[in-house]
Amino acid sequence: MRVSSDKLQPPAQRGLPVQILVDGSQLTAYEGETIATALLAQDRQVLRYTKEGRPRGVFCAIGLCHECRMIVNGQPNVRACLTLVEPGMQVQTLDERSVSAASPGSEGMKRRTD
Amino acid sequence: MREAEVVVVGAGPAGLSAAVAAAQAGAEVVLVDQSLRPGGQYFRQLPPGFQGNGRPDWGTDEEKGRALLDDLSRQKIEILADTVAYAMVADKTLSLAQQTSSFQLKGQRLILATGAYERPVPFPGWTLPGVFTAGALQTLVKIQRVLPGRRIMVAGSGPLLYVVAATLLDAGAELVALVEAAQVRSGWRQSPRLWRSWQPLLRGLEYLRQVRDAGAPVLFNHAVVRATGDEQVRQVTVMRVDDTWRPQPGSEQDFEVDALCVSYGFLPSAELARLAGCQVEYRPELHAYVPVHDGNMETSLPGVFVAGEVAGTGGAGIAMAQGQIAGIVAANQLGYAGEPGVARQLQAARKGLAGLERFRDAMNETFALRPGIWDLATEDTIICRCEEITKGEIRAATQEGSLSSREVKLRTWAGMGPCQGRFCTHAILQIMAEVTEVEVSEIPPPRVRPPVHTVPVLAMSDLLAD
Repeated sequence: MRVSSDKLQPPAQRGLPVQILVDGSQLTAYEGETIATALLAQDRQVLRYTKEGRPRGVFCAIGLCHECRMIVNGQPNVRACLTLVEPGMQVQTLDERSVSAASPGSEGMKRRTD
Repeated sequence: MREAEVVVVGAGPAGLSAAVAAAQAGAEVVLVDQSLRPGGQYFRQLPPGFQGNGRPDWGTDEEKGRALLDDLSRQKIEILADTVAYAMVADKTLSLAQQTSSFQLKGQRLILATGAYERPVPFPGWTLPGVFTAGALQTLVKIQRVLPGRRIMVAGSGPLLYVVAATLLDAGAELVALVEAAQVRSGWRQSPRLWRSWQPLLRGLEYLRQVRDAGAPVLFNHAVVRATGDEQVRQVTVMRVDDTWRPQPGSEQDFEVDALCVSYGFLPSAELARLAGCQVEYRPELHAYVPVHDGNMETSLPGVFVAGEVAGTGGAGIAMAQGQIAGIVAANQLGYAGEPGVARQLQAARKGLAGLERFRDAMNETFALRPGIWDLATEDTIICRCEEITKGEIRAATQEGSLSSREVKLRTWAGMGPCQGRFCTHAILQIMAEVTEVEVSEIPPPRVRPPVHTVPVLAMSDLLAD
């Protein structure tokens, strides 16, 4: 949920409303917000599914852990915690199950030494 | 390739202080920072479009932060914002990426103020969405003004927990509980050094009072042992821990939550320093490898300095004093003797640092990490979040004869993902130490390799050309 300006100390005002598209649905965010914020404000925690199908969301929020990777305007592996929303931005859940099905090479290499 | 007299990496408290001090002494300074606006994590500024109302953003350090940013704008310092220092290509020469282009920058003196990040401790369920680092919530609430749910638990150990708990309450969250593994009260009594630094101590007690006034349970000697939920965390199990932080059977308590944040102290971001070839040492009281430095903050490489959290966790006060010392000494080495005022500044910084270090040492003692915390992960708990490698897989690789951390990395792929081992290497070393029955300090971590941050391949063309 967004913290209302009268509640948080110190209060602050957000920027102008910005419309983005998340997995095909319209979402109102505000200038200055990251993609992660826009989604957390809607109580949406899951941003990605791993190769093994596990859900992941924001973890460190400073761009180091890379857990919050999503597809933004067609580009995969964009960190939602660092990327500011822009009008018309298209955001999609990154589902790595389909990615690893398309290129099974890494799995094969990983299991080689087992 | 570009050149400058003093190059500072990182615009947090230490980097800002270093850049300002070096410039005031007369040196030409270039300040490199990843963010759009200087400040680092501690003095992080609101994003474009957001407006504060003039009330303090940084608590009791508000004046110092504003003064530093004012000094920064007054000095002739070139700020390279939104710029990632991702490799070290030669002596004191950095590879920098801006979006998809890159260039090299050589400093006659180089000051690395690259900060720290939180030390994650793996436990069952720690990869679930809704489980955050404590610093993540501090950033989300203070800078983005968003709460990831209503009912939030704060757990782990260390001073940051109390700051974050107070921040969450200010923002209107329901604090489910504050869970601290250490026996804080006896720690305070045992550390007379703390009483000499009454200001930060009072601040901590004030946060604690705020938590108690809000009616939230404060559980000392307790730890989160498990987070459960289907798509995101819904329930957290907390247990009483003994003096070694091992959970005591039969003490389970379950809490319903929307989010959980966990913090067990910090790890220095020493990747660039290590890549440069700076000698590091294992500091048992910090449970981390820290670049070796002298009283001038100069590392084992002449002309390369470290300042702030990268030189060992100590907080913003220590970071600012260390930054000042590094900046002044770097400028002095280049022949900028500075005015008499600069020498006085240096003296004051050294004196202030000594007092702050006493407080830091007492805090490190009170919140010292205990070995039982590493037993929270079970065999099927994921240790390497990126490659999804479990504790059992790492243990098996070690048992099967992979005795160096590099071998375990190559064999299991643990540490090879996009976080580049930042969030798992320390835990992997713990598991290896346990299996081979040696001290964790006896297992060197894998070498650091460029790029130390993820940058577009296009931006790395200079590395490929070499």
